[in-house]
Amino acid sequence: MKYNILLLPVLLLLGGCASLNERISQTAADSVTAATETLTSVKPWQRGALAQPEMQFGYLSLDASIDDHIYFSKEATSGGRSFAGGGCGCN
Amino acid sequence: MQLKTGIQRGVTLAVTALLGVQAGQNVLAEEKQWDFDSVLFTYMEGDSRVSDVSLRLEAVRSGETEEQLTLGLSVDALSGASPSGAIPTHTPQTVTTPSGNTNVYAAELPLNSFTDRRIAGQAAYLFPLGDQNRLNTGFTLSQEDDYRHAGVNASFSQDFFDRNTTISAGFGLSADSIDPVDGIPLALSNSDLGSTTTSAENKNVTDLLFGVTQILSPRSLVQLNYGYSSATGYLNDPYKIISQVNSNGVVQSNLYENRPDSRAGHNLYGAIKFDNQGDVTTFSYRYHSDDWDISSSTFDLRHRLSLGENGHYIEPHLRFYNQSAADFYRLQLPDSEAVPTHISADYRLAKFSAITLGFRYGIKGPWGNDWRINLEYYQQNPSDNTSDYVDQAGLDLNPGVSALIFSIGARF
Repeated sequence: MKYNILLLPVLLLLGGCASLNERISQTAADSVTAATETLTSVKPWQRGALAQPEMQFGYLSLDASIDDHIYFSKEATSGGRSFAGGGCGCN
Repeated sequence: MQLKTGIQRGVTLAVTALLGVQAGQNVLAEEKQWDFDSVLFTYMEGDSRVSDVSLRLEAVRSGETEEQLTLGLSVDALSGASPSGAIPTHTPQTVTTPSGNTNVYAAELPLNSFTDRRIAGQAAYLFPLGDQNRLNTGFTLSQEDDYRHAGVNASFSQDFFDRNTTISAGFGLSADSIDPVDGIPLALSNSDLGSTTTSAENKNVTDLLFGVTQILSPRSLVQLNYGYSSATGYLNDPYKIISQVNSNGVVQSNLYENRPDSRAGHNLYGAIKFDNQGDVTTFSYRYHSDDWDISSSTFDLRHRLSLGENGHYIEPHLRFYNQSAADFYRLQLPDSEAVPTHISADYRLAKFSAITLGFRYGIKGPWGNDWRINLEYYQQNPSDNTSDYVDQAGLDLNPGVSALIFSIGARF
């Protein structure tokens, strides 16, 4: 499945750790289930998982801004997640 | 937790003092809470090229409403050397740029040495405009030895369908000033002659960003953004040059680069998050296209694996990027050819792919705070780094970049 293919690099990264591989396999299966749940209105009381900080797109925004700054300095294109911006004469 | 509150009070007092909050504005007495995030990171390129040591701080004040104030400060100390754009040769050479004369060993890539400091600040305020919509406004400032930036931004967002859908629209404006110590070089002039003007140059950037966030299920959500960016003014890198070579590939001279004075580009960005009983997968893709003929694709995958009730987690990270070259990018220029109006040998405008492998480990601290360490390896692989010239046989004309990034972060 497409999603399993996306998880393949992670599996490879963590290869050699049996317990983690079991966790990831379970995770992959759960992910497919989550992805195929019907796209219906999710009620506020169903959003316990979505309310977790790590489920926000702005989670660890400081780390994301550092990544953006590094890639802005070393590559010709930037932005997408937020403004392409600039603000440095990067070396 | 009481101890955490004590720490937060102490840091709050320190931060408000640093930020100049006036006496009498007792932020502790309000029903507001300050949250802090901080990251110390080092960036080190291979072959003793660029290194950066940086400290980032962020303070967020929030209350019972959605009203929120965010303040940020970052300080960078940069040093090292970056490619000048000139090609390596089989004999030692002296290369002149605004950074001065550099003696380059045979077969070595000519680099510009530099040291720089950067300090940047930002503030943002989120105004709730009712139950379903918000206005976020902000400004950014930064200062380097040879570069200044000022920017403002604003975005509006509105929720629909019981907050299952959020749409947003925003803009950003920035005005930058480029002021190299020895002046702005005359574009396309011979760098050995040192032709410079003394005045600073300006660059203005306008960004537009439209987005939709949609909850897909109790455990997944997706975000789609479209971004437009337009830059006008001085878009050259004043330190970059390009080598002119004869029919054997021997360097005859080096010319300052010259880029178009405008650039407009489009970004399409999509991201999706899945929760799997506490483990979170985030995947994003970005497509970029612009009128410099550069297009790029970026794939980014993170998987946060929870390691138990005590907040430990690990998060592997994989990023893949590739871009086409700018239509005026050249590795070098034959001296038999007329000098084009726009030309650059900046390796960042070349065709290349890049991969990032990263790993984050997070842990809950003993006082309710949390810590994280992050290690990443970045490798850039240029597509075009050789030539057919006799005198350039065996030379790596664009070796790419590799870098190691380490950071430690704390939130409290």
